[in-house]
Parts: sequence; structure tokens; C-alpha cells
Amino acid sequence: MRRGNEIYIVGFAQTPVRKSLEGTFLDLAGRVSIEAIRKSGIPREDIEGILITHEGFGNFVNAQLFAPRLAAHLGIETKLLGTYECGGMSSAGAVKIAATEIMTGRMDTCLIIGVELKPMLLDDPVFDQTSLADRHAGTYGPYESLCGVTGPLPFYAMSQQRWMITHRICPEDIAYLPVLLRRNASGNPMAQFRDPITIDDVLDSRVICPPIRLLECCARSEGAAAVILASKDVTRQLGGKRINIRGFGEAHDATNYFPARGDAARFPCVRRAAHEAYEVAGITPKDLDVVEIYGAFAGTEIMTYEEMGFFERGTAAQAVREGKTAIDGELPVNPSGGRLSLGHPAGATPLLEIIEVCAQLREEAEGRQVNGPQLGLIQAEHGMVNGSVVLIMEGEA
Amino acid sequence: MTVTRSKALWRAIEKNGDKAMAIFFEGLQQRRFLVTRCRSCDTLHFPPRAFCPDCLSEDVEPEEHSGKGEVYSFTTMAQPSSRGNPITVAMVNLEGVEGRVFSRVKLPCEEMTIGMNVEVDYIELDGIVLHCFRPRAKGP
Ligand SMILES: [Zn+2]
Repeated sequence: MRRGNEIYIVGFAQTPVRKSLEGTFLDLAGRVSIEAIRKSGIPREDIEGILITHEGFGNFVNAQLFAPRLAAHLGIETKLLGTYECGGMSSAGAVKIAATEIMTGRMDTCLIIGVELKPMLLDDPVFDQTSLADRHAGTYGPYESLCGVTGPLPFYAMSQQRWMITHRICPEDIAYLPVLLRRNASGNPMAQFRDPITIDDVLDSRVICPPIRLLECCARSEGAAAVILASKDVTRQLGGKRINIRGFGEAHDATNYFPARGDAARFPCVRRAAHEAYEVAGITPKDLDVVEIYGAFAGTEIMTYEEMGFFERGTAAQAVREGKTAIDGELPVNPSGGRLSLGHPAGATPLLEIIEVCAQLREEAEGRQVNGPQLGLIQAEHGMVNGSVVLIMEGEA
Repeated sequence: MTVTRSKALWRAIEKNGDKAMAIFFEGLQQRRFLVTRCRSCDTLHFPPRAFCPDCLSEDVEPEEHSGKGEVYSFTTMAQPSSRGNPITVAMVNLEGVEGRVFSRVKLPCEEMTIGMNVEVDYIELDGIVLHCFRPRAKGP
């Protein structure tokens, strides 16, 4: 990074992503924390901060004061402790806060944990709250919730509808992406969906919210992940291939879900966050070797590639079709299988993206390894892409 | 049962938003569709506001709108309560108003197009009147 101390990712651990996992929040958070600490080689007493994140929409029991509870459970005395929440990008936001504290020199190490135990999309718990009063107080705003909105899907559908009409994108163009992501996931034992699918499978799957089909949707998943950041001084004493955080960016639009004004098929926050990260790292998208994009729905994922500057506006679907984002393509995107096939435990998703890029840069991603990558990136978002975080990472010998 | 639900709903309306929102839902009960006019910069806004999002003036007042507008985008959505057929929903740009309105539309999704003309209509749900949209012929 240009300003302040260098930051490294020195340890990480995750559970498989599955429809449901054995164990409670504390069980899963404890398990990934201990594994990440062990892998990092940092003595437990040297961990100086703990930040946790949980699913933004869920109102699960015991969310309050969970960070102190976990710190007590792990027996770690800290200089930074808390929960960070801003929808789907939460755990990436937590990583950014931890990185900033290390940059200032205030601390040298931090453990970041994300856990998801509750299904989020397509089977929202709010779905069963049929009284208008319950729905009025819902996540999707008083006006939309009263009209029966119980999940973000209709907003994504209306955004994608505009994009498809403006750029004459046909359903066949979009259907390539879920097939590609499933092929990537077939090499990832952590992924929830590993059986191959075809273009016809995607096109024949049920239209849930026009124009979005079932196989273009992320899965509801459970999962947990932990990442440990450290300063250069601490990292120097550890073995293994070091992953340097080269830069980051963050931007939020003054919108929540569907924008009331402006073009609903554009994600300006993604553009701003990406440009900030590129500038700080001193790179362009052409320099990237491997990327994980949040992409909760196939159409939105392709639109995000364009906002990230990977492809010209209106051309990303064609690029995916031509294999440019495949593992052996010019810019491999979501080798993990992405949200569509790895699965989407929202509270943990940004950490899972970071872990996949770290595994790729360390050339440990057996079964889906990109050829010799040096520079990687992750992007995460919240709402209907109303805000975004971008992190750029580099593998060092 | 309906009475209990409505009470809870009105309590939620009073607690969850700002005062402009309560006035809007009161207006719907009389089948009037209210937007907010900022007297300082003379702009109309939806959703209703207690202050102007453009100039931050608190000199705002509710104003009844014709309910005429055009479809910005649309899709269908499962019905939460009955789990019946999916309903058509849309984002609508109201004439002269900043800020889109989301609601159901009384038209099958196959007959919807972006840019089509619609106007506000009303439905009764759970003992409360809510707004929706219906197609309208082009013209004044
Ligand atoms: Zn004003």
C-alpha cells in the first residue's frame, strides 16, 4: 500500500459450503478461528484484534455482544473487538477496517471471522411472516415490503431487465455463465454444487422472477470462514508464500435496493470502489491474473464485470461465451464456482472470495488452479449492489 | 383478526418511518395518492419526505398527484401470503416526480412493456387500502 505499513494475509480457514452444516455459530466460528491461527503460525496470544460479521438481513438469536463472547471462547485478549455489518459486503468491510488499523501501526495482527447459518435468498424467513405489520417492518423498506416484497430478487430482476433491453442481451448469452461456474466448482470440494449442467439445463430451469431463471440464482447456503492479517514485521518471521494486500477501495451510492433515480442497470459504487483500488495498487484491470466477483445472480455478475472495467459496456456476456473468464481464459473469474455454484453463505462470502484468491496465488487450488497467477482481486457488495468493496492482493515469494 | 392486524400495522407505520410516511398511508385510505412538494426548490418527491432530499428544506407539504406515470421496469413476484399465482410488479416514474414508485400492476407480465402508460389504482389488503397500478390509454 502507498500509505502506511504493509499488510499481509497470513492465515485462513473455511468450512465447506453446504445447504446446512452441523454446529452453532459459536461452533463454526471457533473451528475456523483455531484452524486459521494454527495455519498462520502466529501464537494465539499474539492475535491483537477480532472482528466478526454475520448475515446482515438475519435477526438470529445472540447476535448482540457476540464478538466479546467469541473472544472469551477463544481466550484472546485484544486491542480491537467488534461486529461489522453492512449487508453482503460485511466481512470484506471488516477486513478493510483491520487492514487500516495495521497500516497505522496501532496493531500487528487481526483475526476476521464470517459465519452464515441462515438461508437468505429464495426462502427468506420473512417469507412466512404474512401479516402486513411484520412485512412493513421488513428489510425491503416500508413501501416495497407492504407491496409484498420479501427478498431482493424482484429488484435484481428489474435491473437486469433494463440492461438486457438496452444492450440487446438474450437469455442464451447469460446462460453460459452458470455452466462455466459449475465447471469451476466441479474441481472445488468446498463447493455446494459440483454436478455439471448444460446451457439447456439453465434455459429450461424455472423462470422465478422474469428474466431471472432458477439456475441463474445463487444458492442459499451455510458456511464459515476466517482470515488473519498481519503487518510486515510479523509476516517476516513466518514461513510460506506471503500474500500482500496491494490496495483497496470502497464506495456506496445514496440508494438502498432499487435506486429511486438514475440508471438502475448501472452500479456506480462498483466503478468507484474499483478505480480507487486500481489507483492505490497502481495497476489496471489488464494486470489481474485471477478474480473473485460477488455475483449473486448471473446477469448481475456479468453486469459487474463491465463496471469493474474487465470488458466494455454490453460486451461481457459475449466475453464469457468466448471463454475469456474461464480458468484458462485471459481473466479467470470465480474459479471457486462463484456464488452460483460454490454457494452463498452471505456473512462468510467475502472471506471465501479472499481465501480462494489466496489459494490461487499460493498455487494450492488443486482441481481448479489458474496458471501461475501473481495478482488477484475480490469484489463484494450489499443490497442490490448499492455499495461495494474491492481488494487487490499479490503473491510474494 | 383483521382489526388486530390493522392496529399492529398502523403502529408499525407510525414507528418505522417518518411523519411523511404516516400521512401518505392515511391518504391512501381515502384513495388519494400523495407525493411531497418542496416549496423551497419547487420539486415533487416520492416517497413522501419530511424534508427535501434535494435542498434539505423542511418547508415541504403533501400534494395529491394524478397518479399518471410510465413503467421503468417490471417483473413478477411470488405472493407471500397466499402462495398463489405470481403477481406483476413494476417500478413506475410518475409524471413530474423525482423518485420511482414500486407496486403491483393489474396486468399479466406478458403484456407489460418498458415505457407503457399506467395510473394509480387501489386494492384492499388485510384491512388497509394500498396503491397499485393499472394500464391507461396514452394522452392527457
Ligand atoms: Zn427542495
